[in-house]
Amino acid sequence: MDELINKAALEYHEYPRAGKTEITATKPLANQTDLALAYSPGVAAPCLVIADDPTTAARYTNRGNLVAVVTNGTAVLGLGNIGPLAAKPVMEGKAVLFKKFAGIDVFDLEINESDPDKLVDIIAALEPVFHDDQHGTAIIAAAAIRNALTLVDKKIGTVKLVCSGAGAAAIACLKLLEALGLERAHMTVVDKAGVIHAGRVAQLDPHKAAYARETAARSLSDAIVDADIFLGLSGPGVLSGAMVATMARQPIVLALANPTPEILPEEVFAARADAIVATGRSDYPNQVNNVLCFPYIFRGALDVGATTITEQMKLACVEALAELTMQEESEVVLAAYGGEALKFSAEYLIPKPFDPRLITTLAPAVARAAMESGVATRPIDDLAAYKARLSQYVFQSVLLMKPVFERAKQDQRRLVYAEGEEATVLRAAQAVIDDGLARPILVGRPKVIAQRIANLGLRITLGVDCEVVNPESDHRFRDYWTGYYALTKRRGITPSDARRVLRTSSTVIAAMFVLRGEADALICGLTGEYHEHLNHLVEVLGQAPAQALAAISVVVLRKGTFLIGDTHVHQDPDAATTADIALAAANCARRFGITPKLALLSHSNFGSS
Amino acid sequence: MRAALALVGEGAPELEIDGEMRADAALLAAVREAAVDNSSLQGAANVLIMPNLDAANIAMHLLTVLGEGVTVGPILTGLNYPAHILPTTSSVRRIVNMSALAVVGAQAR
Repeated sequence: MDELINKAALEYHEYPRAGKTEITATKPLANQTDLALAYSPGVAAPCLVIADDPTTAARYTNRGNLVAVVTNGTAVLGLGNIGPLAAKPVMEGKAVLFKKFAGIDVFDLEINESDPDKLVDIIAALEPVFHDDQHGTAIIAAAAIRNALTLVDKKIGTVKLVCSGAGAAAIACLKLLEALGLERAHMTVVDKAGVIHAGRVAQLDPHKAAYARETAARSLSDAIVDADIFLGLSGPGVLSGAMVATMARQPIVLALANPTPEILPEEVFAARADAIVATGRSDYPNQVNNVLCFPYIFRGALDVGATTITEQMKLACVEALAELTMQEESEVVLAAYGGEALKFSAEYLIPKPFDPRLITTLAPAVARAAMESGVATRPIDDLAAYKARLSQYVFQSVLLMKPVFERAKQDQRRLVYAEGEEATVLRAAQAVIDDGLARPILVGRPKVIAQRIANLGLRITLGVDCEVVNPESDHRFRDYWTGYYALTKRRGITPSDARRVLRTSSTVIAAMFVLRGEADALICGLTGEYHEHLNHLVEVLGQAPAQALAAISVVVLRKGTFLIGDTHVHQDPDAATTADIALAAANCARRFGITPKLALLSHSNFGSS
Repeated sequence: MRAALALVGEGAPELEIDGEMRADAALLAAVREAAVDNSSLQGAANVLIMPNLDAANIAMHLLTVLGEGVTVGPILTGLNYPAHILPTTSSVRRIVNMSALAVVGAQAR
């Protein structure tokens, strides 16, 4: 792993406090009465009710929103057998995803027991059990295959599939695909010893033996000829371009081994331009990532008190993912992600992990399927109201900036930083360059900037990664001050004033850059006073017609995301300005994909005082 | 505030907005319903418009610190070009966030 990421990851885990999760109390404990209710003697009351009727546990405890994430650390992500203690960061990470994406509380349990039978006994006491690495992957892979088949116009009942790998995840995928209609007779499974054929049955465990076929094929290259689908849940580089070349028309290749897939997408396309490819990686389109489903399956299952996760619930999830991919994007998603990238296509087979519609679509589908399959102990009567309630989990911090970043990356612009010598600006510019968010332009003395870059240990190469504008010697200086003079002379600014302002205000230089089309946007304010910057920006860039200036701040809290206005511009706005601020804030909310709900605040309620 | 409400109603009748109200009424539907019948605002408000700069700025800082949250912004609107003035105390994360927002603002022009 990259050394910088390594260091950053360790710091992220250590500060400001160790680990990634905590338990919080949801009830006040303010006085003696609260204590008597929360613990002894009052706590006996709910205990006795639950002892009498176990279904009331969801009413009097947090059980209805609680999931245990269990591991013994023998097969962690790409890390292998690292033991239960070393697996804890992964378990805490899973807990964070559950909480942030679906509001679900998690106990992470690391069990020091490698005997599978004993482990099963321990976990069996925690029902219901869902193996998310297997089933989560199976659901997303099945959705990708289902959607890809629609795209290439093939029927699931007639296609031929070759699966590389016969571990638990592969078997889970095959079972789900079978439930979707893919014939077992059309599946060829290949493990490390080659094709699983009828002659090997005696040596195989029953899970694998179920997929043994009468076939002459003995190797992956034999089996792959004329196959419609390759499903890889094995190891790096197993599939070659030459093998892909022998597949049927418009082959579907799911190369899910992580971090190095069975074949890289560019190798597939070199062999077959008509192929459709999905991997487990975030740096290629169509990432098969189980975060797309596990938080929402559990949300739906918990909300109806499901006693188990049924096959129908998984199928409902597959269908909901398919529907979500193909339906027209809502205005909300378009606003948040920007248009074209999200049209159903070979590059967009499954939703993106940060799609805010996932929870409101998947959880109700799972809840409905749980009720229909008879495993729901607390059925929901009004699914539409339930769906509306789920939207409360959407747009927490994780969802707020991610779409903005994705959009910025898609179409980088030139961004000028007025205070280019500041250490925080240089650090930020490094991150902006690394993430490909913008092409930075720094206003500042090149010598000073270069020295600070070296002192801070950054990797920015001036003139290559970013442009530098030296306010002391830029050759465009004359153009700038004359331009600024032309804008301000009516207000009594003299040419010498204009020259002086240009020499002393880097914000004016940055603004002139934007005005002249040499930059597309600017960031300033890291030194000096807010209104001084604001005055310069207004005089150079000008106010947009029929809009008020306003500063809207977004506060991202556990309880939700709130926009507050006006936090910086108008000291004492009159009614008309307040109305304009409200409209500006509503527009800001929409830019984040948030449907604005506005309250005009005061110390009184509707004229009550 | 009620004059502002009327003006917003004229300019953007489709907007879900009500006021003036206390912060608890804005965030808790039950409190609001006890104070007024059929408010046009449903559920918790997510855009809070303050009567003046001090209230807005103080509320933002109280929420951020006591709520252990983060702020994105301030987002400056109303200029002809995307430009944002950040606090002198800005963290690297704030500058990066605002950089991305500024780029998206430039794309939208």
